[in-house]
Amino acid sequence: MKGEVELKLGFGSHTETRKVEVPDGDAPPWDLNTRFTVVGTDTDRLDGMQKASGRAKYTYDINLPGMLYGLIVRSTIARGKLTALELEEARKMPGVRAVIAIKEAGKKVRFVGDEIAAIAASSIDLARDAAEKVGITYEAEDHNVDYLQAQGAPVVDDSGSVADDWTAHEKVDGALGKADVVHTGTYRTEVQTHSSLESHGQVARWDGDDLEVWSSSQATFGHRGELAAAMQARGYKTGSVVVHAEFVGGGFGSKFSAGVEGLACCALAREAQAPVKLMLNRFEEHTCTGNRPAVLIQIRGGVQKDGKLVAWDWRSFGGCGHNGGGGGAAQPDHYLGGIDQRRDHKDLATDTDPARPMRAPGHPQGYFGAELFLDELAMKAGIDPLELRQKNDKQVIRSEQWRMGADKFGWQKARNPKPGSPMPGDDPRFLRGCGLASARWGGMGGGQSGCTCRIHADGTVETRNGAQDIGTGMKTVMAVLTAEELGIAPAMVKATMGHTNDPSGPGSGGSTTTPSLAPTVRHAAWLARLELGKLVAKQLGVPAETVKFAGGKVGPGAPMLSWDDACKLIGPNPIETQGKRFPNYKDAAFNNGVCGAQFAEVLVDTWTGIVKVTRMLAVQDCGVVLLKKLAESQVLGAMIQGMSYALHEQRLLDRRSGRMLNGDFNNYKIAGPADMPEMECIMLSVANGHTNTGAVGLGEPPSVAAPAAIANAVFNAIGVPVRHLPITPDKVLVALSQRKGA
Amino acid sequence: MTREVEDPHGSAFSRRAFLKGASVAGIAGATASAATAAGKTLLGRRKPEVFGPGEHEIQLKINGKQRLVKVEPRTTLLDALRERLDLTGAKQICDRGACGGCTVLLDGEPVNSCLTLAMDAQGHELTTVESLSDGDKSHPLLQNFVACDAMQCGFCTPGMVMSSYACLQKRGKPDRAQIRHDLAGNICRCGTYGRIFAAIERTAQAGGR
Amino acid sequence: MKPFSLVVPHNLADAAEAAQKPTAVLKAAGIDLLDRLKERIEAPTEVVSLLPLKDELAGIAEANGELRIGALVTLAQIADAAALAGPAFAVIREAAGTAATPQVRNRATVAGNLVQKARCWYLRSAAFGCLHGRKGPACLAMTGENRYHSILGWHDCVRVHPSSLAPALLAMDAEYTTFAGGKTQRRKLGELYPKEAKALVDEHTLAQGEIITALHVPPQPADARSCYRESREKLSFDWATTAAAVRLQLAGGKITAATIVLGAVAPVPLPRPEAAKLLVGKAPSDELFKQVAEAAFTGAMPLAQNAYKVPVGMAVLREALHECAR
Repeated sequence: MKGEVELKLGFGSHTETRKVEVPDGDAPPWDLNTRFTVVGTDTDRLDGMQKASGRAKYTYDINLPGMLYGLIVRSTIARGKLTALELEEARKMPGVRAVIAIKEAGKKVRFVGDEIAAIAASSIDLARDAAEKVGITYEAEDHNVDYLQAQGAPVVDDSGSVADDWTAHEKVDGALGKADVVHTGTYRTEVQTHSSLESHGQVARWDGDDLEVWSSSQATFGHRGELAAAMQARGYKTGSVVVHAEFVGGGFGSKFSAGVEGLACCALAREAQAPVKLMLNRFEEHTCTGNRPAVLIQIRGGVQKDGKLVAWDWRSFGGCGHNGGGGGAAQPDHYLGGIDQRRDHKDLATDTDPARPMRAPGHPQGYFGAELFLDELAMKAGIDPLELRQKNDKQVIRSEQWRMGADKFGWQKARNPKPGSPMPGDDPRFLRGCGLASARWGGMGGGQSGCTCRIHADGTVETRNGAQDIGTGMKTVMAVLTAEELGIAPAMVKATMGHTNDPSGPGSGGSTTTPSLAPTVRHAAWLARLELGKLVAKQLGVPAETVKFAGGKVGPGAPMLSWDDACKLIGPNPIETQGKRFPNYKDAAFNNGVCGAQFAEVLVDTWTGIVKVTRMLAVQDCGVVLLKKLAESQVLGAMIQGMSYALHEQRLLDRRSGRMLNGDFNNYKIAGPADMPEMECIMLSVANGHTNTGAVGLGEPPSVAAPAAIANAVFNAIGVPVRHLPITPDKVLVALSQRKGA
Repeated sequence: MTREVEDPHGSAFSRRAFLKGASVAGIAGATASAATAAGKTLLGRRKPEVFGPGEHEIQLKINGKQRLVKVEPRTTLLDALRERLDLTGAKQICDRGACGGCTVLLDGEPVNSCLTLAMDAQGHELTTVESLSDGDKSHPLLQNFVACDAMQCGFCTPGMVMSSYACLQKRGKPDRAQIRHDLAGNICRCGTYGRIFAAIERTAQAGGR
Repeated sequence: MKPFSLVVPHNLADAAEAAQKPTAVLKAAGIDLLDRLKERIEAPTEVVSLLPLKDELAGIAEANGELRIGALVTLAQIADAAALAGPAFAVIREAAGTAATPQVRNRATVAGNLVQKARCWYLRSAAFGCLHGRKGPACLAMTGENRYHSILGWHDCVRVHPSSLAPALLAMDAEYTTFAGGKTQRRKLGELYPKEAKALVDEHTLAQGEIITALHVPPQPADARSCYRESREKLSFDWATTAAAVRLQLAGGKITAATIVLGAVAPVPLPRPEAAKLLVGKAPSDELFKQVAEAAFTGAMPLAQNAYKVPVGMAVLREALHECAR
């Protein structure tokens, strides 16, 4: 395929025809006219049975003969210097086979949990016994774990508002002065931890200088590269390094790097001359594997009576870890196009574990502040929140999502017309309200990746890539794309991911795995199809271009060979093709990224302050929807995670020691089955045209809107906003007491 | 072979099941099932047994089969299953009984294997997720988990399956409130709850338990 | 966990004797114990298992209207017990049925639930040394993070009593039997808990090696009703932030007897007899219940972060009273 093609792009009633330059050699791109057989259907998750049956082996499940158990010894102070490290006593403990230093004496200690040493022993309990014998001396310094007490922190008054003056800004000040209605608010979130259920960790085994690693990883090649470099830097002669991550128990952004624990695991295995499994425990997961930072946001803005936003002034302060970075909060640009605005952000460092990207970094927190502010502004101006969004958001996909969502949700009827009062028919103890919020994300994909596709003479088909499926369903995507090209059932395709001796693929970040890899996989399958087509054409004496693949048959129409008969034409060596990821087509995309709209309804218990989310609805796009059922799962899952963030999750630190107090699942609260609202997700498939499949990312966008929609629903219920996440009963009771006439 | 002992003073002693040839160390923990309505104990007081702190071999009945495994007293059932018997379906997630990822059935009831000493599991019927499939055959509940896409990363899934299975066994056709109630001890970070409810309901409707 | 020997006794006397050793600890299912051992805040040399003592310690039996609940009866068994059916015993069933998770309830025993250690996060971490843990000079929660801690009845330690069954059984005037040094003793359940729950006082009054063998619930009159309600932050597994166990007797539209015990708000389960007295002789009404709830929380001493427990606790008590009076 090469040259210019005309693609019909878009969705529903919003379509356009675009001339697109397709790179030489790529598979012919899909568009709105493409009739799919298996793409976009409710195909089952390929590895679902392995997971449900408990037979899937995650890194934590790997048991090797002679395997030892590794453990990291960590700092108990938040800030200071390591003055002495003594390892001999630990080395003498029963079962101990290796003890290594991670931090040298004289080096800084930067947070409670900072890595000091590592131990490998024949059981985890023996390793823990030995850890107590490691001699650590510190010179402690005064520490600070509250970002609002950090250097550069703003002054916050008793009401929770930033009290510092705004610096002058001619345009913004002017616009605010001319606005019909002006409003200001300060919004705040707390630290959220990724809480992947499978903790971080590895199993490492050396065979001479060759290293084989099982890693709970969301970037197999990233881990591989890091470990190879680190082992050589440590002075170990390193041959081949292979990483396996066939099943990964969650990542959510925290598992891009092999981490200190990964390096320690490999080093311990080398020192002990035995395989080592080093998995972090739940406390370490909460405190040493990164987090979504806290943020304080102050917004002031202005709107005209007709609902048009005219001014936007934002200053935010990120509550970051010791590296003072990663704390930014994103804003909904789609409402703010062309208006006078200012955006300021400052990251503040504290003596805690640094941030790591967490599902839509910066977005759930930023959108919470922005969307709640907009609802407050709307209330002040007497405008319906939906109308305010529609007035200022011209994005064509989201406009459709607002319309569809509001209709399906019953927005007009569901809104509480008198926030702070019970709705007719409800028990007066409870206040009902509903809210909405938007989402936006990139996720166009790109980069380099490869894919091996094989068709064997016995009819079996393989597709292989060395990146990971952390639960997104990428393996199933691979099988479905291959099946679509070859006209067979997805169950006939064996898709393998997670071994770095297979072609390379991206880390699972930015919601780019599918959009990056799908075109590559399709390309490999398309090339394999061309080869098999040639064999069949030769056999039947027809031109190759007349050979079709459909319904498990191959041929020009009449006759058609069965799949098995077609494959019998393949010799002992399988058809084997290597797919390639061509760059995204220039100027081709119908949309540069994805949108999203969500709605939520809550019941607030005025006696106890408990917020119950009764229902949530999302309308979400992701370019071409490759797997309908699995895409919906992603969206629903992100909505629940967002609900949990909005209502329950926060890291609680003891200030005096800098140590996390709720580093468990007792008091770090994650929404459970009994907290589930009624949920609905409508996938809006958009032929995006920027690659041969037109798929865009999905994992993150629905996370963006969920907490904001819930916060807005609480605001509609009570009439007083709760501006500080998580929305726990104590905060709700305060808001209830602030109702007019309360 | 069971041997029952009685106390002439009338206070009951626990019954113990002796297995021919098995070492005494392997048979700690009374088998309540071995206690019968018939009869009091009659012989002299049996001294307490003391195990550990080092390792010794015990017998656990898992998925219908007797398995021998070396454990210390401090070894949890979860660690015994995962690290010593390579039954890795039950997962190590929070290790404190707060997330349900380690759920197995003990005499048909879901329990946290991380909060059960391996030695305390002796004499009980243990059921792990591995019992619900065999080669290509699988329990309808598992098939419905797949059909309803009740998993994403899959790490909570075995625990969810066991709680779901127990729910179906106990209630036959549970309603939504009962399902939420029975699964309330299981956490999913990926957010698959709604799909899991659907999988249970689908299994119940088809009469599968 | 640190290494320990597991002692498996075959009769109560041997269990009690083995547990006499100062470095030994008793274990039923071990739901709370294993948590503490894994945190390494305790390191007994011997763990004495009570599980073999099914004959002495298991089972629910009824005799002359009095219920005997064996110490090893699980929360799940209590929640479903036929012997505890009916409105009079609802508080016990509900307290047992809402605690923790199904998995925990299938193992956790009533005695273990009653004597579990407080859930303060400073106490339960080996990284902190607090006064109640005998590892430091002060209560760390008082001046630290205390959103889940006590608002009533605290002195120099603000730990909170987490048991749901304790308030429930106290509301039912339960008694308990223990075995120690060859002797059995039966006392009112209130004696299991210290009068003044100071830092240097244990969660319970059991002597070293003293074993609870049974709980006894007195016969209930036909007009008795009871109820347990708690507040949480989420509906799935969560610890109560406040709890109320209530027992009422109603006749001729009036309350003739009342017991109120609060949970999760004090270092011990907290009977509120003065507040309960206000109910006697009156007809149920929301106004009355509001008054009683205020009285029950009189003298509350909230900490920096847990003032919400006062209105929430009152609301939960009101709710429990309404439920009983329905």
